[in-house]
Amino acid sequence: MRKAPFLTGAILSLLGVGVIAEAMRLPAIPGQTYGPGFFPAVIGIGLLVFGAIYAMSARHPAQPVIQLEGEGIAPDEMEETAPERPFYGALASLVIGLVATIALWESVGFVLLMSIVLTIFMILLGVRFWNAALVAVGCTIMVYAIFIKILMVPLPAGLLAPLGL
Amino acid sequence: METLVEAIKLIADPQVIITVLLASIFGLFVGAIPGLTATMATALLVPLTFFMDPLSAIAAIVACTAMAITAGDIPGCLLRIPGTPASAAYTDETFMMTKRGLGAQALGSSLVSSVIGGLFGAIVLMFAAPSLARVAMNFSSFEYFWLACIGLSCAALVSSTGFVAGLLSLFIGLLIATVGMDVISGSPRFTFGSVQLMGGVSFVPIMIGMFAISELLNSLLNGTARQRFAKPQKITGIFHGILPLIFKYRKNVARGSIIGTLIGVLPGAGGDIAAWITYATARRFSKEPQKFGTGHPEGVIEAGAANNGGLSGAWVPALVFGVPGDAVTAIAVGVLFMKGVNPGPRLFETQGAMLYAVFLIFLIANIALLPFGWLAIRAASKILSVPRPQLMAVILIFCVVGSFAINNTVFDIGVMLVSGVLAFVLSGAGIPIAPIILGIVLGPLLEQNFLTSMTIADGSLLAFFERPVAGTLGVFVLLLWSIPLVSAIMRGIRHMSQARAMKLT
Repeated sequence: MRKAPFLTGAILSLLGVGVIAEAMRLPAIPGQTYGPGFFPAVIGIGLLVFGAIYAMSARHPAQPVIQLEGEGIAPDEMEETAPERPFYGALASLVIGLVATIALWESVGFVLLMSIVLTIFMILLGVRFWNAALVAVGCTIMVYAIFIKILMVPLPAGLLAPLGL
Repeated sequence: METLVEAIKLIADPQVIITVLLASIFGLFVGAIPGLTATMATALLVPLTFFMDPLSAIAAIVACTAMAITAGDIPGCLLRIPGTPASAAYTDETFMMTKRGLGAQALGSSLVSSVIGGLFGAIVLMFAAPSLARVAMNFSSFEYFWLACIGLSCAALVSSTGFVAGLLSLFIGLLIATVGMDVISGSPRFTFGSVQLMGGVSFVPIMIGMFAISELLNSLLNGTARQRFAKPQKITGIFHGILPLIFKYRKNVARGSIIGTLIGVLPGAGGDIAAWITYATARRFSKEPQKFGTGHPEGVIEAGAANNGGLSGAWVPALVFGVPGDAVTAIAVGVLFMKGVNPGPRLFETQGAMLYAVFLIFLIANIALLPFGWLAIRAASKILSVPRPQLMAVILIFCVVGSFAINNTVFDIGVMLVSGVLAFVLSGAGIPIAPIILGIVLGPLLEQNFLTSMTIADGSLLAFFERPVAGTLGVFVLLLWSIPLVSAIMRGIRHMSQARAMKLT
């Protein structure tokens, strides 16, 4: 049994139940056969049924499917380039960094936030401090300038606002 | 003729020319780096297109994807790592050619056949789209409902990991599309009381998350994030002796272009699948099939033409019906909607000059592949030596500003993060991502046309089969849906008989 597909199928199936329940609560429009709840209900049923089928089929691994869209790497590609260990640190820094970015967006500001997040991210991938910091700060300032000056996107200045950037 | 002159005037605009140039260079770069796909290039480009006029925006997407798909052949040929999924079908073949010292021939033939395939697809688009649009003028909500069905069904059916996974992906996309205020009755759906969700989940951050953030997560987890590529050998003289070679395999060029374009026109299937199928047909009809896999250019030429043909072909349903043919055109249709330009047959009347300008861009971009492709091959070792961590950091910052810039809300950065993690988890469980995007784009089209039709027909489902075109399309959809069902039943029967045979022996 393959765990990930089984769990995903099961979760999607449960999601389908939730969607159906929510769809039932949507109001019907008088005089019309199909109201706003109709499509969500169909989608819910679809998720419920096909999620279940997917989970069931994961219990009995089928014959290998031909890889069409290059999703996943063919086994013979792997042998030529020895894979390194997963970068859990960088992975965590990416997710935490993005969450922090969302939380501190206005108060800390774009330049400071992104410089710090990107520097930490690169250091955790083995880039030396000065190199990482230079790339991060340079990139951030360039992007900031382009988006503020040319594209008029209001990126927040945050703590650096007194500098008049 | 008048529209043509007007179209030429439109693309002579320096803004358009510079946009196309920059987008081409961007596309070449992204395509040549393994792990960055043409779809990802488009997703990262979208926030910038938001600040352009519709023509520049579409021109940028067209040029960028054509370049990316072609540049994807380069690392496949030099390092045996396809630059984009569309090159995966013949990566081994081109790499074997390089090993035998035919690297220049491999790159040259895939480049020239790409140009021919792309031009063929563009010409088909130029002539087929306007005449199809004239037919589509008479279409009502009934026909559009079925067209949306076809687009969605094809997307699920051709999915690489089986149609159940494709369908699941599709339903997830449709579900995301229902979030927000229902357009017909105005009642909020799945908003959980959030004001931000009332207007629906915005499309651009979802795409950036699903195609860029999920790729970053993926390369961090499978340990390729820091990997440096081997230094490729220098390849020169790619155009030497190419024309006789292409002439020798002219049948393959023609077949690849035609099949590729047709697969592209089919909603839901794009260049990747076209390449796989035509590589197989090349082998099937070859006089020397035993040479395939040993460094033989025949399949490379046919599939190289096909993936670029498919790219152009995919724009036919996208522009004529607003039903995108692949993930890239799904994004393009989304961009056009954001700009207030609704793709569909009326566009050919109201914006004829602009459409012809888009067609001309197709021709120009495909011809420009020759010099640009040549440059990219010359610069291959430089492009491939860009350090990965820094590259990923740059991608990350563009993801963040891109998601923010569409609506200027931080909420969208959150949407990007959630979609990225979602896509990463789903593809880890074998569920493809492209159908989600098609579901998001086609969901509203499907629902609105269904509800409008039902209001017209007073709730009678039979009305979907009463108009001649709608009826034909409807029967086609039902046949399409029966394919997996029938094949599942057949498999079941075979299993049973096998089991019985086992018992007997």
